[in-house]
Order: sequence, then C-alpha cells, then structure tokens
Amino acid sequence: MFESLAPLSAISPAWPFIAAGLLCFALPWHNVRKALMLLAPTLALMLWFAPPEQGIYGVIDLGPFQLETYRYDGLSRVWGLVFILVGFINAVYALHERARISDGSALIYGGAALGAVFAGDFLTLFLFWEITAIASAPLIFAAGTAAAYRAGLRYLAIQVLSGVLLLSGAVMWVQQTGDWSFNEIGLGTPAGFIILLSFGIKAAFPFMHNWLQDSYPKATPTGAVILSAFTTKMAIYALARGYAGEDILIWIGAIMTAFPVFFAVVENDLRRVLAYSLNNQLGFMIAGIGVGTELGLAGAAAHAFVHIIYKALLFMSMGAVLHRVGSAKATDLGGLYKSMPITAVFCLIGALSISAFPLFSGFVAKALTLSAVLKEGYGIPFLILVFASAGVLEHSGIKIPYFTFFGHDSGKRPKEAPWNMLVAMGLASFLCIFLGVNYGALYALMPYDIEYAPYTFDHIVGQMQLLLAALFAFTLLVRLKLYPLEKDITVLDTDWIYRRFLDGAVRWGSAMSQRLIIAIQIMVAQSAKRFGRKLFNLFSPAGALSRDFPSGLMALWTALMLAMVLLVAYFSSV
Amino acid sequence: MSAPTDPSRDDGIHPLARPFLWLDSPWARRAPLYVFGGLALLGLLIEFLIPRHAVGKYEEVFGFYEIEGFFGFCIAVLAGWPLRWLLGRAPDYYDQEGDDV
Repeated sequence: MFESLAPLSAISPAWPFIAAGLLCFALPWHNVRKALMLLAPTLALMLWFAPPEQGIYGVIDLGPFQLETYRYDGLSRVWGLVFILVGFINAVYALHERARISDGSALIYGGAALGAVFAGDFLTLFLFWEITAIASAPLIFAAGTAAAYRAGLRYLAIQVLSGVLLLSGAVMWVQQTGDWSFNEIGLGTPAGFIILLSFGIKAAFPFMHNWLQDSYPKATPTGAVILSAFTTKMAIYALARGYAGEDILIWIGAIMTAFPVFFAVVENDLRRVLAYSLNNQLGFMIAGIGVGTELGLAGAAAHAFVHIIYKALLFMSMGAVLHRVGSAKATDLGGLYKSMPITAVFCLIGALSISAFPLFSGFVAKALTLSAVLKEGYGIPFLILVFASAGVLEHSGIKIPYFTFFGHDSGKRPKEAPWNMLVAMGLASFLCIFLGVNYGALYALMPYDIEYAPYTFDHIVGQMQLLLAALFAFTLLVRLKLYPLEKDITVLDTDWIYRRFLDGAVRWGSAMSQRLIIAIQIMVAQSAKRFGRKLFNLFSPAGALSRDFPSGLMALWTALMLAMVLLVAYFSSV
Repeated sequence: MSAPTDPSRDDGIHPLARPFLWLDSPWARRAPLYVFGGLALLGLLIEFLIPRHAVGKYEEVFGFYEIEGFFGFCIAVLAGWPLRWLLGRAPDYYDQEGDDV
C-alpha cells in the first residue's frame, strides 16, 4: 500500500509478535516487556501496509516444501488488521499486569493467529494452528487456581486434537490433489470432512463448543480478553477460506446462534455468559459463510471484525470488575455503576454494539448476514437468526450490564478500574461507535465490493421493533417475577460427557484395574506359597525325600533296577 | 467496600455517578416497563402508517420483528426455569470427585 514499505512485504505481521513474545520470556524488566507489547502490534501494522498488491509474500524455501507465510488478499487482510488492533488494545489493557509468562504467551498467541490467517499453504497453517494452542494455554494456567489448571489441560488437549486432525486431513488432501495450497476445500472428499472437523473444534461447533465455556472464564482477566479474540475467529477465517457456500454451515450456524441463548439465561458466571454469547456470535458468521454469496462472506468478515472488538470490550469490562471485586458471578455483583461508572459506560457501549442498536458496530455488520440469508431464501434459518438476535439482547445486552452495574445493590464499592484498563476500553468503545457511524470504512475493508446501505428506513424500523419488543418483554417478565433470579449453580452442558461421564468411566476403569492387579498379585503369591510349601514338604530336612527308608527295601529296589538295566542291555545287543 | 444506607454519606460512590443515583429510585425502576412498552407500540404504529418493504415471506407479516422479539425473548427467558431444574447442579458439582474447584 505504501511504496516505501514495499521492501518489508516479505515479513509477515506475525513475526514481530512472535519475536517480541520470545523476548518477553527472557526479559525480567516489566517496563521493557510492556514497551515490547505495544511495539509489536505497531510494527505488525506497518507490515500489514507493506505489500504493494495482493499476492503471496514471505515464502520460505525448505527444499521439498515451501512455506507461504504472508498471503495478503481480500480475506486475510481483514482478519489480520483486526488481530493487530486487538493485540494493541490488549497490550494497553495488560499494562498493569506483572506476569512475564502471560506477556510472552499473549504475544506469541496473537502472532500465531496472525500467521495462521496469512498462511498460504496447509503446512504453514498447521504450524501456526498448533502454536496458537500451545501459546494460549499459559493464559489459562496463569490464573493459578486448581480449576484453571485442569481446565487448561482440557483446553490444550482439545486444541492439539484439532491440529492433529488438520494435519491428517491436509495430508489426505495433498495425496488426492498433490497441492499443499490452502484454498477452497469443500465437502466432496473425506479429507474435506476431516479438515472441517478440525476447524469445527476451534470454531466451537455444537457439541464441540464446551472447551470455550470451560476455559475462557477461568483465565486471568487479561487472558480472557486475548483468548476471546483469536482462536475462534482464526477458525472462522479458515472456514470462510475453505468452505464458503456449503449449505450445512447455514444450519450449523443457525443452531449455534440459538442454543447458547438458553444456557446464558441460567448461567451465573458472567464471563461464562460471555463465552456462550461468543458461541452465539460465531453462529452468525458461520451462517454467512454457509450462504457463500459475496454479501454473506462480507457479512461474516464484517461481523468477525466488529465482534472481536465489542466482545473484547465486554470481556475487558468484566475483567475490570473481576480485578476490583474478585468475582464475576451475578450473585456477587450489582449496583457497581456507583463506584465504577466509567467501566459501566464502556460495558453499555459493548452491550449496545453486540445487540446491534443503530449507530453501533454490530448493527452495520449483522445486517449484512441477515440480508444475505434472507435474500437467498433460507426462511427457517432466518427465523432462527432473528430469534437469536433477541437472545443476544437478553444475555449480552441486558444481563451483563444489568446484573453487574445495576439491578440490586450488592453494597460493594470497589475502586474504578485502573487507568490503563479504562484507556483500552475507551479505545474499543471508540471503534464500536466509529465503525457503527462510519460503516463505509468497515465495508471498504471487505473482500468484495458491496453495495449495501444499512441505515434504511426498513432496516432501522425492523431492528428497533425487535429490540424494543424484547426490552419490553424483559421489563414485563421482571415485573411479573418470571425472570429467573440468579442462583449460584453449575449448569451442565456437553462438557459433562468428558468431565463427569468419561472421567467417571476412566476412574472406574482405573479402580477396577487396580483391584484386578491386586487380585492377580494375591493369586500369584498364594500359588507361589503353595508351590513353596510343596517343595518344602519334599526337600526340606523334614520333607518326604529326607525320610529314613529301611535298607532292605532300598537294596530290593536297587536290585530290581540293576536287573532291568541288564535285561535292556541284553536285548539291545541281540 | 460495603455501602452505608444513606447515599449522601457513602464515600464509595464515584463523583461521576452521583448525578445518576436517581436510577435507584422506585419510579426509575418502574418506568422502563412503560417507556419500552410505549416505544414498542410506537414502532407498530410507524409500520402501520408507513409499511415496510418485505424481502422474505416472513417479513410480510405485520409486526413480524415485534412478534419475534417479544415472544422470542419470553421463550428464551421462560425456558430458563425448566432448564435450571433439569441441568442445574450444586456450585461444587465438578469438585465432588476431586476433579475441579
């Protein structure tokens, strides 16, 4: 884009992040690490502007393989830019945090996510795909609790499994096509299904989604912000690249938008509510990819872009509350607007954005997906998506700010969030409003030229009708005491299968194996004892062979044996 | 951390929040029901006076977005009662087997 930067186009924006991350592991100085965290996204942004035109840059020749580390095109640059932006915002948000491992991990994780979206071939994609898994796990471990440790292990296992599936599918794909390039894959081959499964794990498809609700809420306040941005959206990018226009994705997306709505209503941990909300938002993007038209793909890309920012904003506001209060459970919160009014305003901006109120970023992005679904005649998915839009308002638009900052007064009066957290939330809030008002800037980034006007009478009236009717329903249900009050409970989800059922089966199997081993040991010991006793009875001084025999009898037996030997010798010589 | 009953003596209240303490008054808690109800009715009236241009067949139904918004929200919230009964467990549910905290 800038001619003077063109010589730098061989360097992927991933490398400044990764290099800074590795340095952070080594550097004990807090201020230097924080400077690196701010510098890395700045350099990456410069490299994002470097390529003079769309194409493949940064090719690393490894003999039989060529790693294409910087594919700069209409699709990858959208994700690349927002990853860089959120990397910078997170660096500001984490300025107060003195955690060397977290600093390094966050940078390498962000760099790997950038590397994955700019990867031009499967091998490069796989390498960065796995690095995101390994680099992000310390952000969960860093919380330092036993729950976080176990959730981190579960997270790591599932993420690595996704990478293994990706490599398996890629190898099968290359055997069929002879081409390592990562482009359209489709579902026409077994390799296509395996790679979809790999992407589906990271995109949190239904029944594969619970790693998200299990791990993100247990991460540190800063860890959750950075985690919310990268892994799932990297998978959305991969789906857009490989599976655009696959009908099944419309249905998967529609289901993903709807089911988290029900879980979020009864969930007490507000960061877990946000994790369900994340699932719901991914559903909109996947539905857009499934439609596969230019409008649908632009919808997915625009939604991913704005979603990363407003979801980070919501996680940041909850992180600030967790930082100050020590809890993000709805039962522990309420009335915090009195002592954290600035955080409350930022949280409300995030809530308005995700709920798609006009003039906020969610409005201009979600409109593209809904229009694409409607225009292609997918009636039932459209109904589900509209229902899910009301659901978003419930859990992210109302529940998060209401139970945290308003609702009943918990009596807690924590200090306002640290200044750096406020600055980071302010930056994200600015982007939410800026992109909502100047939607042209967002649409100009899209992979296709789209002629779409979000602020039409029809669209504004329709969306406001939906939101106002839902808000009226909320106030009515609260008045009638039909809104379920928050209770400190654990809500079972599909993670029950591996956290309880499979874990129980393994524990039962382990206990049974131990019993079996003990039984075998006892049996062997008893047999050995019996055998030893028999030997003792035979050979010991008191044994059968040591008994005194009469000499007459011995002489008789000796004579008989001698006679037999003589007979044998005689007949053998005849 | 904990608040005195009289807000004027509550030192924990941020100066920027003081002008908004009326949000806790009973009338402010009752008002949203009527405000949002009124605005929702206004939305229907606008649609009646200036019909929207429907793209799909569902959009042709008068008040489609209000109907789906209201009933969709109610279904999502009211489903929470049986869902909580069905899936709700003690907070330390996963802790019972020494699995988690």
